[in-house]
Amino acid sequence: MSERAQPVACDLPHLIIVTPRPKLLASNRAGTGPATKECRVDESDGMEEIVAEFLVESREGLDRIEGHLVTLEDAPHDLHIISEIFRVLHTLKGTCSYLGLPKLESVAHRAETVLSTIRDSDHEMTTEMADVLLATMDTIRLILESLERSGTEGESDVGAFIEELERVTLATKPQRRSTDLPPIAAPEARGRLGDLLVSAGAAERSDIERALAKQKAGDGRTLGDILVDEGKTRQESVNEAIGKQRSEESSIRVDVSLLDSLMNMVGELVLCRNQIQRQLSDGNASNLQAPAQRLNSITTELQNAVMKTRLQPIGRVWNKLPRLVRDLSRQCGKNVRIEMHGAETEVDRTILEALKDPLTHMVRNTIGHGIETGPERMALGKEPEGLLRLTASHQGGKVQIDVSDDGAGMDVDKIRTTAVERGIVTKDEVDELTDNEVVHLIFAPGFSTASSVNNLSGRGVGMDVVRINIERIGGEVDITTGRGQGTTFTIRIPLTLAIIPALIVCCGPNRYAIPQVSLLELVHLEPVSAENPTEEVCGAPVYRHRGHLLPIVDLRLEFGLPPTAEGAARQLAVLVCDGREFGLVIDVVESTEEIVVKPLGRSLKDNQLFSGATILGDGSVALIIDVVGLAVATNVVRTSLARSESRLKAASVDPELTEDLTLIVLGLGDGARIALRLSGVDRLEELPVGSIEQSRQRDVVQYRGGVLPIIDLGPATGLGASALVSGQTMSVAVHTYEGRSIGLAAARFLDIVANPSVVRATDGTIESAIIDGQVTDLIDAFQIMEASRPMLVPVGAGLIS
Amino acid sequence: MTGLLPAISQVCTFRIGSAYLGIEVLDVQEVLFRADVTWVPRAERGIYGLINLRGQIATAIDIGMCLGLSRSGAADPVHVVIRHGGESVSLVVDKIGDVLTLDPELVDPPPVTLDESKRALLRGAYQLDDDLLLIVDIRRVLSVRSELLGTGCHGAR
Repeated sequence: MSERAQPVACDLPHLIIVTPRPKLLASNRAGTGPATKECRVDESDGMEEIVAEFLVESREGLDRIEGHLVTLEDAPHDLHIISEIFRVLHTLKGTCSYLGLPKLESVAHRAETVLSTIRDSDHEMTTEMADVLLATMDTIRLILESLERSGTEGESDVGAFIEELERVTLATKPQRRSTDLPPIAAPEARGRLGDLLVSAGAAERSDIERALAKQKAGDGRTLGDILVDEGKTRQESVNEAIGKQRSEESSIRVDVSLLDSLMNMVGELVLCRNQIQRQLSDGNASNLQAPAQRLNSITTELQNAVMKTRLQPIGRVWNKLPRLVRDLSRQCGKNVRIEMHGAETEVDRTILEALKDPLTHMVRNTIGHGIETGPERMALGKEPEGLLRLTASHQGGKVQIDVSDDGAGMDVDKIRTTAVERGIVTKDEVDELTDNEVVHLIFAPGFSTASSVNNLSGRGVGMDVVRINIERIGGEVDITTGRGQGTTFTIRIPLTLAIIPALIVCCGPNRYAIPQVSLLELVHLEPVSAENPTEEVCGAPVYRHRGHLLPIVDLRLEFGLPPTAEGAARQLAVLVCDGREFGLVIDVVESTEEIVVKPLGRSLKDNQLFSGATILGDGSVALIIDVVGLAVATNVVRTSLARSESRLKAASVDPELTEDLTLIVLGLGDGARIALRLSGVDRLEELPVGSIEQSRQRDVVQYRGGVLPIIDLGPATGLGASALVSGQTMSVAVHTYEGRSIGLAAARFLDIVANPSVVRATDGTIESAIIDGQVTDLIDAFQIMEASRPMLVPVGAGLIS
Repeated sequence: MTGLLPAISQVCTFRIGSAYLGIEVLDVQEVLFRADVTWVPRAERGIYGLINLRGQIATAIDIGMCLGLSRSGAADPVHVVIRHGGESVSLVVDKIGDVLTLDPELVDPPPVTLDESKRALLRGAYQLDDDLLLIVDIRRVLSVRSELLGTGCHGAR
């Protein structure tokens, strides 16, 4: 019976590998032969480390097998133990294959076969079998020793030994080899998930077998999914079993010297604490300066050292990729080599875990779709061997990982069609997107056929899941691609998640932490008064900041707290989310601190506003504000797809692009004038002011069968009085914003001017134009509409057009 | 009436309003008499707040709300801390009572006067001299908390 489901070297407790089964073994049907040499990684340093690890783990494994074999003699049919032994042997066999150790591999293989006859039939473990198997373990040990000494498998002839193993294998059972090419989908091991479920009483052995047979026949679902779908077990049982699998992998390897230094530091810490306690009890509070400083520096050192223990080189994840690349290339009939640079770049362990699946998926995608076949490449004048290059480096406080290939690049037209087919964009919308924006559509949910947020390595998943998983750890992923040239995925992730610098603020009775990474500036707000009213654009509060209009979120209001007293000064934190800035109004800024991020309990995990909590120096709990969540919840920022749309619109009115600068000049109340780019204006209408109605606290008019929100330009720009003088008419320049019509209202329409002289700001944007000898401010309509977005696009409701 | 409690059981008792409740004492990690509770804005109903439990952050659940009982509104509620789902969770109660040893033979099923949904949350009832002790299936209550209360949020604008 083919034991096909073992990931390679899964005994390594600190690594979870998502790879297909060792397809390599299929090519080693004869079980011997140096055919596997080609799979070596051409990095001898990496090889040494791998072999060293292999030796350590194999020995540990052998010890375990021997223990089990002895137990098995007393309980000859304990499937549980047999599976355990199987698991270890299989791992050993797989790694041998990868490392090019044919002798060892064949011995392990034969031993497996012996065991399988016991497992799959009613035959019991005989003493003879046990003897032979134990002798097998010794033989393996010898080979390992030889490997350690000389790097080769040694001269001993294992032939006779193998014959003995074969003889012991019961004649009634035909030898089975792993000749079947297993489906690449599920990483769960038959000997593990299936067994765990059976031993937990959550599934029947026969159901497991049937499910596995299905997998073999090509069903791409995971074992757990098949069982649940067929009602053979409950999802909770599967989750529990997977949890048990995973819990075996939650340990870490740490350098002993690092641990020693940690112990020393802790010792110092204890001494320091004692000192402080003594001073306090002596009533000598004034002498605390020195110990306090000491405490500070020890704690910092300790913190750094502990963080170091969590850092692992990214090569740990990468080391499994060459194997994956080889297997996949074979399977897809392509020829791909992998290059890895910067494998020593260190990353926090939790982040490493989160990266495994996305990286694996990207590699799969690249080999499956990105890189062309040999003949195709040659026809294009490329080398027949495709190149997959991984690069990692530290860039500005983040780790940057590039996954690039020299394949065909992404077919932009195909993405366009697929996106329309899948209902992600309409035909009209997609036609207006730039190629770069189209490429980013692959991140949209629903783009690929089967996407399931929680099961990245299970069913086929789309890039949206990859991106969500990366963003979950505070990272971002980007693509650049060139037709015929290849594609590069760029992942940028923070160094660590555990301790972050944050701004501690007060709002109401509690304190909250704002991660510094999202914070741009702090501004002191003058108390709201008659001379200094809150500015609004279309009902949404805004703040004029460095020439921009920032949408504002008042934290008190968001939290449902009563507003502050009149005349109370408040603070504004300018935050950035997804490239967009917005302002957060808070009561008091307390301090900046490095805080330890603690996760919220399960019942709070779905909370949108907070990403965690921390304990402040005085023992109180401060919630950590999730800036992205807050921005989305209050609708000050859009999702990236909509953003790219408006970026396009903005780009289309970029002065650099338009050679013709035609402006429409409008008069505001009391004689002031402004100019708008004519290119952004859809229509110009004269409407009676009386036709304005109120809808959701906005000014709107009924227009062309729909409702048109009105933005009063005078107050919105702060340059003139309101246009909405009752009894008169207003000039409305109708613009399109996010697919909806918005009317920008001025008192009267004055003129249309082509190519006037312009005054530019220091960054090159046009500030104003000289019209009729007068300086007239050029208003960015887009910015105005952006700033009033919370009112234009009410949360949860679509905009009525 | 065997089967409702496994064997001779000890229950940790407490009061919420006028109700007298108990949970398996083995489930209880500790009892806190004074804890500073940090309120969580816009949290789901039933979430009382967060407390600092020796450096760990534990969620405090308003167990009375989950069971449809009104608390007496005392200023200093007691926190009964249990482990649930791999984390520490505190149940907010009015007063803590004694640990009682119950004879499983004398445990009755939950009173039929309660409606079905409430009865599903109890493991049994125990008649004491002048009180009826309701034994709560705390794990069940916590697991279905969000269904019990709906996921509406506190403090809407």
